[in-house]
Amino acid sequence: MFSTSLTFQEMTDVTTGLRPNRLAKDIKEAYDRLCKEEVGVAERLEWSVGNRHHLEARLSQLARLVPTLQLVQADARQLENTISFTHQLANNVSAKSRVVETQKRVGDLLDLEGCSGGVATALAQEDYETAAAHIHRFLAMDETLLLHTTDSSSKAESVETWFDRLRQAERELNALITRKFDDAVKSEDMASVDRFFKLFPLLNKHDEGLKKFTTYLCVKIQESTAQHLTTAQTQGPREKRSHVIWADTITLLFEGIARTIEVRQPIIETYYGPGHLALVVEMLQRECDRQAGRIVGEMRKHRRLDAVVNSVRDSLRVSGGKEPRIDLPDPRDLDTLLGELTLMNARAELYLRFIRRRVAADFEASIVDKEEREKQESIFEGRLSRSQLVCDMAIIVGDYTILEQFYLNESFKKALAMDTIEEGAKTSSLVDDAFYIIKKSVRRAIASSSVDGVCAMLNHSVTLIETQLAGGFNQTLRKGFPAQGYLDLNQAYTVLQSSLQSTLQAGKINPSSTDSDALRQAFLTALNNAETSMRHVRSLHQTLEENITSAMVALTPTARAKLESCLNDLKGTTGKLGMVGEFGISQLRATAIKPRVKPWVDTFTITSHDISEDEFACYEANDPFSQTLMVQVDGLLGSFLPLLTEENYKSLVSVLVAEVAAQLEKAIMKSTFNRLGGLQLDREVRAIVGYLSQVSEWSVREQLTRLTQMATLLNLENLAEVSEYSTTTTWRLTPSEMRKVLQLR
Amino acid sequence: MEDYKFLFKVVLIGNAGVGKTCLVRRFTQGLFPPGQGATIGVDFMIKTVEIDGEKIKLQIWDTAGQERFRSITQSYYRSAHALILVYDISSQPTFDCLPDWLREIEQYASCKVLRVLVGNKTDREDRELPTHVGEEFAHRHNMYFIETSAKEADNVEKLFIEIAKELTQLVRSGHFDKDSKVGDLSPQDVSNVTLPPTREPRSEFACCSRWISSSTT
Repeated sequence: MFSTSLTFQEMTDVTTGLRPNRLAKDIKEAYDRLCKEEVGVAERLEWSVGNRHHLEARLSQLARLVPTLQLVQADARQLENTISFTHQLANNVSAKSRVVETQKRVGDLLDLEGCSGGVATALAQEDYETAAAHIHRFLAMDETLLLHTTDSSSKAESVETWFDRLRQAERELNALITRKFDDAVKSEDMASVDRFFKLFPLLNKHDEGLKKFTTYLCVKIQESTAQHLTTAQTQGPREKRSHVIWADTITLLFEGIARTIEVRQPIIETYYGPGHLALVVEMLQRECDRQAGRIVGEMRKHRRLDAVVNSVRDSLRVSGGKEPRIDLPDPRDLDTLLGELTLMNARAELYLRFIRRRVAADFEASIVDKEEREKQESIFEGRLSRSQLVCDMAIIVGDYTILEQFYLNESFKKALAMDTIEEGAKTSSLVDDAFYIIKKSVRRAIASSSVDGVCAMLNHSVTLIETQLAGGFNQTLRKGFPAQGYLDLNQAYTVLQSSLQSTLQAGKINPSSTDSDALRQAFLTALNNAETSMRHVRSLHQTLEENITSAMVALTPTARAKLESCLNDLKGTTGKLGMVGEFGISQLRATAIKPRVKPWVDTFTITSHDISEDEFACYEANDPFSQTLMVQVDGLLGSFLPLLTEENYKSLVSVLVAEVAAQLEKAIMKSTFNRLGGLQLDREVRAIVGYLSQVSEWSVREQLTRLTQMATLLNLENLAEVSEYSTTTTWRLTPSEMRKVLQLR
Repeated sequence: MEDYKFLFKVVLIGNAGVGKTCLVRRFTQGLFPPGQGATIGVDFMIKTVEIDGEKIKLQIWDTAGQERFRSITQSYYRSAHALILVYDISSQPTFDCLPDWLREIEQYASCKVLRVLVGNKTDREDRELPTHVGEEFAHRHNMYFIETSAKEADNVEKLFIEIAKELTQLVRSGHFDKDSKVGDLSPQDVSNVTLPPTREPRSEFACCSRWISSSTT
């Protein structure tokens, strides 16, 4: 519409113009244009009107978008801020770090100048500490970096000269300190040694300093050991500690080294830092190996150890040979030597434990990584456990074990030769002596702190107990228990018969009664010895276990397992001794109990149990059987009571009770009973069972219950009572046995 | 209490350097530690194996070969259920010492001990002792025989497993005293202590070729 109005304006302008003929043409054109435009406008209008709703929706959508856009804009702005802030910060930081670095370099340069000047003056003034400090400062600088920093060529030149001068000074100082240190060592100037020792780490010469210092310490150890050795060699045999002089000498060596470590470790740690002890200790250990080797060598020579060990080894090898060698030592004389050997090893173990602990603590302080630390520790342990000292000591323990084994066996032989039974004693002197010797030997081994030594002595003790003690007792018991007790005529008669028989069979003369008395005593003593030995083994096991736990600390799991296994074997010897004892008791049963009990019980079968009222009444007043049996059993037990140990007596009682019960059962089965006979039996069984359970232990009452039940069965009014009874009783008799018993009526 | 049916003590003996420790390490840890130093005294290892579904605990005592430690090592012979006598197939001297070792066994060990002869180091090129020499020696002395290489892990497992099997069988047949379960071998039966030890070659003992024939390597 506007455009149309504008065109009208144009038209008026044109009409007022001067060229009318062209005017018409123009108007026409304008008109056409207008028409065209009108058509276009009309079309657009129509379209707009037609799409009105659509457009309006679009517009409202846009309106809604506006706040979102605002949000985006705000965010973008914030981001921009952050970025610019970061940028600023980064700028600052980089500037600062550059500044610091530059400052450091400047400082380095300044120091460099100062150092190169200072070193010269300090050296001139013999102020080695300051000089070393300057060098230390110089060594901490980065040479190439400093050279690059200095831009102007003139300055670079001067820096280079400083460096040269300092390098020169470092060499000089290094040589100087080394020389001064050596001089101080030579002149034994302790203060100077310490003074120059502290300077090495300033020149980054840690290892060199430590090596030099340790070498110095080694020389000191060498000197003092030489001195101790001379004292030991010149010492007269009457001196108080001459019997352990070599153990004392080696102890002095160990203490010297331990003290050295104790004193020097703080200095080393202060000036060299932690983690250097292993190196020092390894070097010291090499010296210790050498010196200990010398002492051990001297000891071997003076104590004639090799000769003694060789002769003993030969004697053990032949073992039971005909002639005892003349040069064989008396076991009693070995006491002191054995003591000294164990003392030496115990001291060495103590020393090694100290070393291990110290080095482990040093590793702990210096190595953070657990794996690395364990690796270092195992490397150190590997070296230490392969050191000459450990090998020397293992050999000493080996020698000790040979001698101790010999001591044990020989002392035992002596105890066996001197074996006596004192009047009224139940055991012979051998048992106490043997266990005294074993205890002494194993305890001495424990005192040596050597696990292998203790295990070996435990094993040798086990051999001794099983083959010599148990074996010996067994041999005596095997000879049997002569049955003659002559407690009554009846007995004497049976014995006479049997001995006559055996005489006829064997075709030899019956041993006289004194001989059999001796045999009997030997038998009972062996039986008592076996039982007492079991108790001794148990108490020995306990004592030794306690001794080991208290004396041998810080054992490895393997060492502990070894000791445990060997201690167990010691405890296991009770099994063998127990078997010997059981065999002895069974012998007693066969020869001293069974033949006697049989005639006693036989009287039962003689007495009829098919009886009348009168007889029953008579028996009540005059007991035909049980009273006598009890008296006889009591007599037999009484004769053994003073001869057997408590445990053996108990075993005998239970064997006797079992025998009586078994025989009586058999006797009952052979008899017949009527109602009154059953009653009589019940009376008798009550009395006997009452007596036997009084003298015996719970364990044998089972068999007595069988007897009681048999009596009960035979005493019933009628069969119906059996089932009535069964509900309240647990039968020890089998149904078939019950049937058999009931048939006896 | 640990869960096992039997505990057996196995003791290794033989000259120094024939590889006793390596055999034990190979069996118990599966390792072959090169540059092994000489054993000092006695080493001790335990391994539990399974024989016919039963746990068998082997207590292995690895002794030092050196003469110096003989008193220590000998002390273990008597309680051993099995003795493994080792020599080095590339070293004639270690073989020549076998009679000395046998004398020691006779003197100190139980007569019921299971004895096994082992020729070790079959990986070595410089063999000095042919297999049949060791085999014959073992046969003559009533021993089992097997050749091993601790380095190549050859026959090592077999050696110990066969020992465990054989010992289990021996216990079951009452060869040892009944209370072997607690590791308590009573080598000499008390009831015949006065009699000379019986040494009848049991059929299982004698067949030393059994192990060798099944070793294919």
